[in-house]
Amino acid sequence: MITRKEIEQIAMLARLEFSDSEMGRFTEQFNRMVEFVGKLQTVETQGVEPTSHAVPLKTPYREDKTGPCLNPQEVMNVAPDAVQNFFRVPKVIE
Amino acid sequence: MTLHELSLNQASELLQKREVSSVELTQAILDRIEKVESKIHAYITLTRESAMEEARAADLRLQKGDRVTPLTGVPIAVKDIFCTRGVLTTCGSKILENFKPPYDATVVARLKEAGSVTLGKTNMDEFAMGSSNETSHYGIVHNPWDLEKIPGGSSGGSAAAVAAGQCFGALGTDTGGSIRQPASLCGIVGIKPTYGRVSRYGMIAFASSLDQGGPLGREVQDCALMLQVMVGHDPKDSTSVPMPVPNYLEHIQKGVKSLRVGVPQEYFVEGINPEVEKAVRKAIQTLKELGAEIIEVSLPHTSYATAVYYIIAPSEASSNLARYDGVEYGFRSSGAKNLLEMYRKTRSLGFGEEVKRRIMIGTYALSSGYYDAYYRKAQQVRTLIRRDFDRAFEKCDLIVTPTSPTPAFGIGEKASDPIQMYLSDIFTISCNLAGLPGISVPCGFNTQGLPLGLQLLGRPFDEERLFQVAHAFEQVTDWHKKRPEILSS
Amino acid sequence: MNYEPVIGLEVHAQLKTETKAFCSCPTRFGAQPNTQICPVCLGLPGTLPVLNRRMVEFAIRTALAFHGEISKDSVFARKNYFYPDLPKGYQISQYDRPLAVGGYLDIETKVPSPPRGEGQGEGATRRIRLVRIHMEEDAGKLIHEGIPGSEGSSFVDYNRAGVPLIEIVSEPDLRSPEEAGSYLRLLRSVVQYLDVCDGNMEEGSLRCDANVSVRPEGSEKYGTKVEVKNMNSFKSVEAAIQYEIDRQIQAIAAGERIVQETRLWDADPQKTFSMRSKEEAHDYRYFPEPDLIPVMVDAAWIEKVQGGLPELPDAKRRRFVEALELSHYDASVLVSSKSIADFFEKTIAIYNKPKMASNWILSELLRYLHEEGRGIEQSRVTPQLLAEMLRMIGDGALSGKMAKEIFKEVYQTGASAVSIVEKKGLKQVTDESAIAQVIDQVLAKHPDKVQDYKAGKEKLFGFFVGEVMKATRGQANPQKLNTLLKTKLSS
Repeated sequence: MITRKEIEQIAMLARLEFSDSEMGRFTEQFNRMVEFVGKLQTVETQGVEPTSHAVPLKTPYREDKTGPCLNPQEVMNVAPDAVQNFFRVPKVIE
Repeated sequence: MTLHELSLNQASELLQKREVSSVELTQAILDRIEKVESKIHAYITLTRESAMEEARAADLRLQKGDRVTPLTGVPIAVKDIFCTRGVLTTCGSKILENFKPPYDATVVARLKEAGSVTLGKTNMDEFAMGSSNETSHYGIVHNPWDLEKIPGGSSGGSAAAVAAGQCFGALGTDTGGSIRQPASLCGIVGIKPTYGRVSRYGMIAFASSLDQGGPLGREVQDCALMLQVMVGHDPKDSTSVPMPVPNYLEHIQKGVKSLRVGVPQEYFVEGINPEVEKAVRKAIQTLKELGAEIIEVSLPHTSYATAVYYIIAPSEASSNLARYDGVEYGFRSSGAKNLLEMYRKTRSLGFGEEVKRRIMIGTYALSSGYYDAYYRKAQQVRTLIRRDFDRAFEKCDLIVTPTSPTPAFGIGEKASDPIQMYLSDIFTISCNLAGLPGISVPCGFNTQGLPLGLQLLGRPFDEERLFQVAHAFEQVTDWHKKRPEILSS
Repeated sequence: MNYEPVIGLEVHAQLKTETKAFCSCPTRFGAQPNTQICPVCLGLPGTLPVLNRRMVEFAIRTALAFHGEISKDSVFARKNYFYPDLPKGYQISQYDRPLAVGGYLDIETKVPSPPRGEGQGEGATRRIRLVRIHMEEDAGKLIHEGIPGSEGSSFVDYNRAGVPLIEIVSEPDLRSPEEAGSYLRLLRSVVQYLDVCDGNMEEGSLRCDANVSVRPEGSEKYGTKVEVKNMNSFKSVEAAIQYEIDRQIQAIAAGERIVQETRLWDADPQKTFSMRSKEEAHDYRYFPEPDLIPVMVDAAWIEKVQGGLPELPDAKRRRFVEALELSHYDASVLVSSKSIADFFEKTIAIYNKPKMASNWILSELLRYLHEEGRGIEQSRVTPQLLAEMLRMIGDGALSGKMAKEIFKEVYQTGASAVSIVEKKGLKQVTDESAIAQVIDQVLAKHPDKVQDYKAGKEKLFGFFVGEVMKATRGQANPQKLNTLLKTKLSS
């Protein structure tokens, strides 16, 4: 059983938040989902290689040649908040 | 037959013969959209003006015989998951409510290059997460066969638009069945190509190792014509395969004689709608009558596919969707006191509930201490599922199954139960996990008049054979010729 | 109780590629904000990374130079965390399958300290083992002030986002701030020799974080380590480590426990500060990057890169000592930087007097450059110019004393020694009759002193030399002057 507190921690990691009213239902659903995917634990996978890509592929490389960049003005026009070609965010405190 | 009722290949033929102009065709479709869109809600964005411009340009090409392809002048629709330069691309989400990409997805660029006319961007489940199109931030799509029913998802807008005559073909994407399931529920054809066949560049990522773009059309040939333009190696996508592409139409008439068709016992299980089973069994009989050899095969890890999928897809999604943070583009919640609050408010208000659920489950599955038990385990079982198919394909040339366990269900019917919703993809998910090509073709209607679909799964890169078999089946059936009656008035 | 410091370094080196790791944006330093960005490095929806071949090649080159073992299929992984300088919400890095594992650097140390000492005294080395070398992409840059309306805001420039990096992680084998300094200096000089990184710590193309702990001398068990970040020079790395060692020893002495944490170095007031982290502990949720394929490196590629490796500082120093007969110290200073060694080698390629060239470079050229705070790359004196001057000295056309003056001018103007000498009319007088003539004049002027000299006041020899030099404005060839003067006075 995953507790509400754990779910709050996961939400923090994912930069999400849930209101109190959402939280109850969400915790219940979350636990059902975890239970649902939990049935994999019964499959024997000793020594089985994991599959990241189903199709065999070779590393494609790009040659080290420069290409076009975006016009910063256009980028800033669609940015939620920009000043002097910088993206602006609330102060980052280290 | 009025223009909007034509199939794509028929429309293409009329254009080539110059019996109709692209402008006429496009106008006819725009008129049709005008008439039915308020009932269907298949589109998020319509690009009427640029469509007419493109139609005029296409007519010029047709007139001059300049770079004419079978798609030149054909009006199509694009799922709103594909980036379109300067045209709103929302991915069905509020978080991209104002996002106009500065570039075209590779497949969009290829379709433009071929001279097709883009009508607009179709509605979809938010970030392609859903099987009913109900998670879209831009409203529910209605199934043209029964407006009270869902069209399937996540490419629900594309499927409904094709079925309702609001385009001749449409682009979709398929991560766990998102092309095939809505195609099945809307009575049309849809193919998910082999992973790596179609470039993912510019296709907004849901689950990178499963996502694949593909076409939806009324007939098998329509899909073949569209896929022909979409496929091929793209250096911008490292997972795109540099393999030669056959001409899909060349041998499409080849038929099914002496082909070995595998029927996996695990796909005819409890929970499958009897009418679906009956239609699929009958379709198998039809294939047999056409000369195919029917073989029983076994895919023993089938029952784990959904669980594997609901670990891998949300895990990848939780990372793919981290970029939506309100910094560079898209929606940002105003009035946050600090950075952390800006992130959390932006993402909580910008994403819908299903997306948040999946981000949460994915974040959990990847988090420290759980990675091996969930993500790694799922990748291992994924290997077992692949091996099942490898073994089955030693005995048969393709596999047939139902596409969806049920016909279209009612709007709101499964919305409150995520797991029930997830189970509507049980027959389509394995194909994505194994990277195989899969096609859904109409194979009947239930007693309520809702369409049913047959799924064909092929060996990797064997799209050509899927087209052959699906086409042969289509030639001896009439399901694809039916048009939804509700709208014909 | 005596404590022993235990130090491991994590060095990030920016690779000198033309383009970024996964897109074709340029990597030039100092461009206008957000002018070197494209849909890929900005993390726009739908974009995908494509690996820069040269990034991999540079990483292989570095790993081979440090004797690491190259993996045949290393894997890129996503490191997930939210920060405004990270456009995608994850960094493409390598995690459990890095490009290379193992390897080492032999640093010079006066203290042949265990565990892996080799030799003693001058030339003694100590082997510092590496854990791994992996590839990753850089993040953008955050600016906190200097922009109007900056109250309560930070600003992001993504020009640096996606620039290729390698991270070189050492074992905790270093035992003092000085050792950390020599490790870092050697590492920098090697990556410069390899031409994979320009090694500029101020511009951040070489960055160093230190893991520092202390333990009672003789103890085998490691103490709790603290990560120290934010040092932007060799000096600050050494100072920060020293500060941290002292802080930890004092804390233990005061009965406190060391907390595992990240601390930031602040150059003014020369202290480390705990990063205030009210947030949750990091959980990077690494998983294999699904948009990239494992990096396959075959034996042929490794062999090719190996074959193209340049001579590295160690080997070069040995050659300078053995073949060119330079002192160990001089050779060490010359090879400490690739550009100095290059300058030296180019000079002797034109005029082959290694000892002389080494002396001039080490004593004069580097002194001037240091005063001006310039690198040898920006020197107006080229190897050509230096070699030319050395030849004049060697040919006796220029005295050592004059040469120092001339060199100053060569350094300041970049003009050739020949032209300066000509312009000033300073050419050394080597013509014996001319010198003899001046000697005669001087002796004629001071008959009494000539008398005294002949009577045994030999000290006056210097006086005559000085007078001749004065009369020739220092241009008389000293050897010739000496011989002639002796002959004249003894006649």
